[in-house]
Amino acid sequence: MTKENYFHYSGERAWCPGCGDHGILSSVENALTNLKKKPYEVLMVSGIGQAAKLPHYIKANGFDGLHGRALPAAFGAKVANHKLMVLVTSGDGDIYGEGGNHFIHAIRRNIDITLIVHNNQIYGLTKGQASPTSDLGMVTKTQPDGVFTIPFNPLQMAITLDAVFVARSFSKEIAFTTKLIEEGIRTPGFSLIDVLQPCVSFNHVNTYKWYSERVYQLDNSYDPADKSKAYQKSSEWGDKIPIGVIYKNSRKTYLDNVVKPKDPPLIKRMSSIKGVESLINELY
Amino acid sequence: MLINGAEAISIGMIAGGIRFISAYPMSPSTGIFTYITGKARKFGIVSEQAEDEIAACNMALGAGAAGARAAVTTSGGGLSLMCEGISLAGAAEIPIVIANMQRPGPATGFPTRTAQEDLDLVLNIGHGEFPRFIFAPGTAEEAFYTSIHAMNLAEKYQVPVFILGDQHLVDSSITLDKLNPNKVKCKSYMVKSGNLKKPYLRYKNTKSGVSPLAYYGQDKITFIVDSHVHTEDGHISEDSDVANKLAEKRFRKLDGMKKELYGPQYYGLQNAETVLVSWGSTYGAVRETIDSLLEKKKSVAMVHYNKIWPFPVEESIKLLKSRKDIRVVENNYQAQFNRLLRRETKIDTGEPVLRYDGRPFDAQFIIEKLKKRQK
Repeated sequence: MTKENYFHYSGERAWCPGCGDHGILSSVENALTNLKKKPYEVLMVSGIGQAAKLPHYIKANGFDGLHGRALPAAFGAKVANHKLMVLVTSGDGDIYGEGGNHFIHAIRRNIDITLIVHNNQIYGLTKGQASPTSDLGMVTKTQPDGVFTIPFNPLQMAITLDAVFVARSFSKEIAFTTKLIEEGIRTPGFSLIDVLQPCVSFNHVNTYKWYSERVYQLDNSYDPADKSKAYQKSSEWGDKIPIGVIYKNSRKTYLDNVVKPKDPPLIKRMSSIKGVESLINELY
Repeated sequence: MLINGAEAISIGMIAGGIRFISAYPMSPSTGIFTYITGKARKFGIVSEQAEDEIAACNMALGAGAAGARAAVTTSGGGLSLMCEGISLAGAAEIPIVIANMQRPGPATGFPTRTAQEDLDLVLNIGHGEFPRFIFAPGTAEEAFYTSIHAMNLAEKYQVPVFILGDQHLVDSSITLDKLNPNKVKCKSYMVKSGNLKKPYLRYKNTKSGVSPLAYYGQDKITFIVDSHVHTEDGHISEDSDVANKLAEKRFRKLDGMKKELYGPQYYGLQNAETVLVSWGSTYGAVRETIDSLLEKKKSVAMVHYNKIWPFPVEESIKLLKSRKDIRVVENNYQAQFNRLLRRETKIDTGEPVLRYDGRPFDAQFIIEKLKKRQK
């Protein structure tokens, strides 16, 4: 029996036909539906970029803020109302480039949010410049001699920082991506799901064909709890690219340290005049 | 009681219902951040030391968008990094209080000394156009009540509110008889559950320019907070009519904002020939100057500004027109407030009394400067 999808938005999307973003959006809708969530319980946060338009194309709460700054905004919203399920959907340029510093520190904080990076290895919104994950040698209008800056490996960075959930997927594999998003959401703490996604307009190297020939799903023999193996697995890139849960770990979340589970959310708390009077009295 | 400006702002923010504070430590603003953090657990506040001021500002905006009263503390260099976030607060109409405690610049300047050099910055910070409040309390007492107002007004108008202080204000301790936390009430301006009209429009185009403010998921609603030109329901638009209406809606808030506290305060001889003008922390030195000159039977008075923006134009003209000699006293080189006053009122002012060596004014310094000019 198929469950009712409350999240589907039937309006137009300003994404190219065939863009990997469509598949990621379907996966997000499916995961939330499978988890029996209601739109009002969910907050989708994004920065700026093609991927970052996603909160406009789903029925849920949204925060579409600044380029690179989705993670701090998501952190603030989650702390303000920890009853909300918070997902961040943005691109590789947004999260790994402009917002790179926040990516590092969001993992350290281990706030309970799920980050889905639409990783197309290119800047799509600005029409085809290299991104932090563009492969060496890729020629663009702003890298006419080919990319010679070492690509950023988000999975290795996340593993190094002991992120609790580090996964990679491929946008075409909707059922597989759905399962990974569900698992990421269910894992308490900061979850990263880096989703490889073809940009049909501006990335003519990493195409559907290119990814399809290379990605393979990790099987049960792979143990994501082993940090050094995870580190090795995350460096696999080229002829073969693993998808699945690369690394899993468990530690206290940010909110475990500051909010008791039964505490009312910050938005429901009030200041008391008596309390303020006590602060004033301390100064006599 | 003995209280400094940092404590006064902090307790005022707590009285004003602050729920979330984020900051990157920077002198001379750190005292506010550490005070509130020290009381956070007791008052159900969350405090987070961010990786940089960009994060601090965007964290507070996330919390503010979700319905928690939020503030950041910083000084000029950090404020510069918050520039884009403040523009987002303007575009997305998110309540936020920015306590900017000035020190001399440019760049690192005098890290532990005082200045009033960021006035032009806070008047203009953030690309694009949007309304804002700027307050510059003159004393710890004024800072306490202003901070409660600031927390209220940010939510009431869904705009950024600046508390513009400086090292002299935050680090100076003064004795006070008392502070009355009942004088300015912490008041919620969010829509009450049950009164929420559906479909809920986050950016509903109202007569006052202020849209009803709800929190995510309240009464099972959803809405989107957005940084683009957007429709009333928060979705991206390229429509020229939408853009015009949105800008006009935001700026209609100024009608209400202009009526909010505080008008300039007058002190001294009723029809004094010489009027000294103070804003922010120069209040104390100017007040002492006036008292000293009044003793010598001089025809002097002062006008003190706490509310800087929206600029109190009519009140200023009423107090300052047809005065023989108006002299603004301020801690910067370019006489930033003097220029603002002239621009907004078209009133001619005399040579301002300036100090830009990182030291606060004292009455003797001001009197010497005034004497020199008389020659």
